[in-house]
Amino acid sequence: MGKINLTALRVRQTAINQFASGKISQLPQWVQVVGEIPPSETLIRTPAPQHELVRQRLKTLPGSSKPQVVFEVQEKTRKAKKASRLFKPVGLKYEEDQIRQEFFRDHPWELARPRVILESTGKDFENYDWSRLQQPGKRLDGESVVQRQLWLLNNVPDISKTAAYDIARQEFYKLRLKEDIERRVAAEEAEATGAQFGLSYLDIGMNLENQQYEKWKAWAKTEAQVFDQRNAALSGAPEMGETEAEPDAFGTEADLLAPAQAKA
Amino acid sequence: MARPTYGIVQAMLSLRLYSPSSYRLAAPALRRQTRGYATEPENTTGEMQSSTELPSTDPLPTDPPSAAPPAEAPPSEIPRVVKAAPQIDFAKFTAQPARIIPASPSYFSGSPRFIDNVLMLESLQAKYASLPIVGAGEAPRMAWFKLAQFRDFVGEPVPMKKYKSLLKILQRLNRIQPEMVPQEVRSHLGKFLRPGNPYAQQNVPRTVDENGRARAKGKRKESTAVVQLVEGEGEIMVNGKSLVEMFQRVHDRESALWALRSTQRMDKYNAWITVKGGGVTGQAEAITLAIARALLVHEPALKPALRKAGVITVDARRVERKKPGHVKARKMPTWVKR
Amino acid sequence: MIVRKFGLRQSRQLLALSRQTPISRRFLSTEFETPVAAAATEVQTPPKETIVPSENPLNEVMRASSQPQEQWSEGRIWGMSESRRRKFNRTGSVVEEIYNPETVLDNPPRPSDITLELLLASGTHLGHSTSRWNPQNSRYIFGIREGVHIISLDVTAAYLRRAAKVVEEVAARGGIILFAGTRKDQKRSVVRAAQLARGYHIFERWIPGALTNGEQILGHCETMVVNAQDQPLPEFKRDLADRPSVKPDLVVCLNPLENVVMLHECGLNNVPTIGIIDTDADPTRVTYPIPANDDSIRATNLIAGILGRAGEAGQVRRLKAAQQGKTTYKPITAEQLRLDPFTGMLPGAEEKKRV
Repeated sequence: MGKINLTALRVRQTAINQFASGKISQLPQWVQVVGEIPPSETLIRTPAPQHELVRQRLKTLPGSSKPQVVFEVQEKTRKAKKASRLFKPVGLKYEEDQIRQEFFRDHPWELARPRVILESTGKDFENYDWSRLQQPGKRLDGESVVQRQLWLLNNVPDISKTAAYDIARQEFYKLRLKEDIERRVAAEEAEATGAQFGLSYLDIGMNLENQQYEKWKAWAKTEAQVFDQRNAALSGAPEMGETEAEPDAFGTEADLLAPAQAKA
Repeated sequence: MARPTYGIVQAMLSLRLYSPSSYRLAAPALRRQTRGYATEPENTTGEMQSSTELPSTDPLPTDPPSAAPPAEAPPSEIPRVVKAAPQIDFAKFTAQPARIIPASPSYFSGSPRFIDNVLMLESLQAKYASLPIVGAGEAPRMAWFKLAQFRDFVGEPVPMKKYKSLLKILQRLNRIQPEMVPQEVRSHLGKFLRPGNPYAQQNVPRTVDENGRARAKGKRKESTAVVQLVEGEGEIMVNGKSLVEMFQRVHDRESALWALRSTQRMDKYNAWITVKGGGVTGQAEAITLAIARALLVHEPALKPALRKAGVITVDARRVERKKPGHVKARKMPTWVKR
Repeated sequence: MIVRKFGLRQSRQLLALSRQTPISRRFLSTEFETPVAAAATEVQTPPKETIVPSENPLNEVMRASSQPQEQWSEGRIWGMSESRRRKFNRTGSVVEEIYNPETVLDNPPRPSDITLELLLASGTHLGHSTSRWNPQNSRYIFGIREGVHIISLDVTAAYLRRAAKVVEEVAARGGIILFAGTRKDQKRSVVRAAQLARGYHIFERWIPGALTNGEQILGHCETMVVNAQDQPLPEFKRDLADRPSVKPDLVVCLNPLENVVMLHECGLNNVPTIGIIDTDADPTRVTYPIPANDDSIRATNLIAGILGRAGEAGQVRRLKAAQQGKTTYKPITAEQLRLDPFTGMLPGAEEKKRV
């Protein structure tokens, strides 16, 4: 059969043939099941689903007073597809991907915030209504802005992308500020009723840095003392200037060698 | 919609269905099998189905007539009127064999009893995970099966690594606070214990016998030495010979008596030694160990000194076996270019 | 600025407290430079007279824990802590719809519960990097995202339902179903699925030859004869000697990539197989592929659970039929059991009766 092994797909035919030729005395119980529920056509290739970037907009068309829902499809380059590429999957394109990319390019630190991406049923989206930014059961994050902007683009008549971005962004900033104030008030209230939060990370870091600095100061003091002492000791012997930088052990050795050199 | 029923009935009888009593009994059962999804409500109305309701499965084309079961009935005998099914004799029905199935769900793993034990212990561990535990040293000491005994117990060739993983679970279960161990856990742990209780018997300290002799054994390499040590003037007999006759090398003599020499007891004990097996060095050092042990029987206070002298440490090294493809245990044949 | 209206904001809560607090007095001054440690000690040592007994359950607990009783046994202390835990776990707010990874093992969904959202949330749609794909899987692939193939979820759902139906029907006909998942964390789901479907499991290495060389490898493993209601019949035990080893009627494989040998043996023994086929696996290795992500334990747990539930439904049907005195399959008879399994003849008898 060439390279493809069809044994698994043909279990039923094989069993029937074996039964007909008397190799097995009775048909297995599953033969009928496999006959009723046949395996799918595994090997038939189907053309890959094509994905285009579709934008939904609410527009007032010239000649009509009421805005209409318009689907804009991105202009595709009419290039003949190679036959070998006919079954190759193509990339998925969604408008929100572009929006998301733009948002996080402008707000890279939003990526540093913790996010919950786990879902138990996958139906969380049913509770969301993006006509407002805050959602029950969802933390405010960059994804909220993306979804809010997309909703504005889809539902507000004749809105431009930047306008939608600005609206969503402003709402987001406002809510973030509110969250921040809430957090500070909560911390202050807690402190007033006896909570202790200890040092902040910044303080801990500064303390560690100070400790290291103090250590270095102590070390530098002793080094300076040693240096001064050595200088004082060597100041009486100016001809030993070249061995000055060497450690003590070598210094004594040099002292031993010095008379020999003098003799030579 | 009228279909010829013959092919379908034949196919049905030959491959899908068997009814011990008759075709009449089979009809509702057949209907049940041709249902759709598992979630559809079961239709148990006992009415006879018409032939059009049968599924349009392809009938078996290549049924040789010889292989068809004897239950095959000519189509003319298919009853048009449904009669009540005969009474089923349940006592007979339950006594009839139906299938041969594996006894354990882990049959295909090749070691079903071991896997069943592991799963059972793991479920116990999960069930009683919240019970308080004691430290590993405080848990009661249990004599679990050795690997060979465990293999006998399950009757399967269990590898060491897998048995160790099982032991780990056993030890974790054993660490549950002793007065809170559930009866279930206790009974299951009891199954993995060696018969008898090896940790119950205390080691009896050896003593000098009524004639003032201390007897001790020592081993080194392939040699075994037995020493009888009595208080005396320093006479040594090895296999009926003197020490000098037995060991030509001074070093061997020194090492044989090192236990006495290092504690300055050379002239205080007589030793009567039998040693066998191995070579000269092995015999000498076997004697060292045996004398040190015998000396400990006489004077237990010497233990730190002897330990320091290194004579009561057992040297468990043995000759490593030669391997195929090697010249010796590890040496490889010389590589020759051509 | 924030401290300004503090007294106003806090006043209700302060009134609710059952103790005298010097806090409000402290905050009358605008300075907020009081040392925190001093404030804390002030608050945490209220005057003893102000404790209102048996108003707050915490008070009792606090007092009980402040006087440890030496004579209590470990068991009693543990029991008390447990009961306290149970009591206080119910107080406070109730969090609903939390994700519990054990749920899919304890109570797996039924085949009718398969939804695309569930499959998406379980991560079954994630395939492998596009460079690792097997082009035979192109019909299951929806598209490419971030350099990863995305498996089409509607195809997954359809194939999963089909596989579930196969499992159910084979179980209803008394077939032997083997669940195999040999990756490290698939053990529990495989065991659970086998338990639900009354099937068999393998979660360690597949021993090569377990089907093709069954006598050698599974010969020592026990088998039994059961009646239609799955009660063992010990009187046929001696007839089981010298029988060939049992072969499965259906094999469900959660990781076909690692179990090529097993699937090959299934092919040689003509056993239908169900397997989770990721985008880098070969779909022709199994009879019924389920295109899904086989690297996510959550996804494989879900699929194993669904197939286990399907098997459970089939077994329920079979046992129900058995209670009515019917078998949904052709049972082995006592005469067949007594025949020599290799020659098909009665032991000692000379008549050449072919079964």
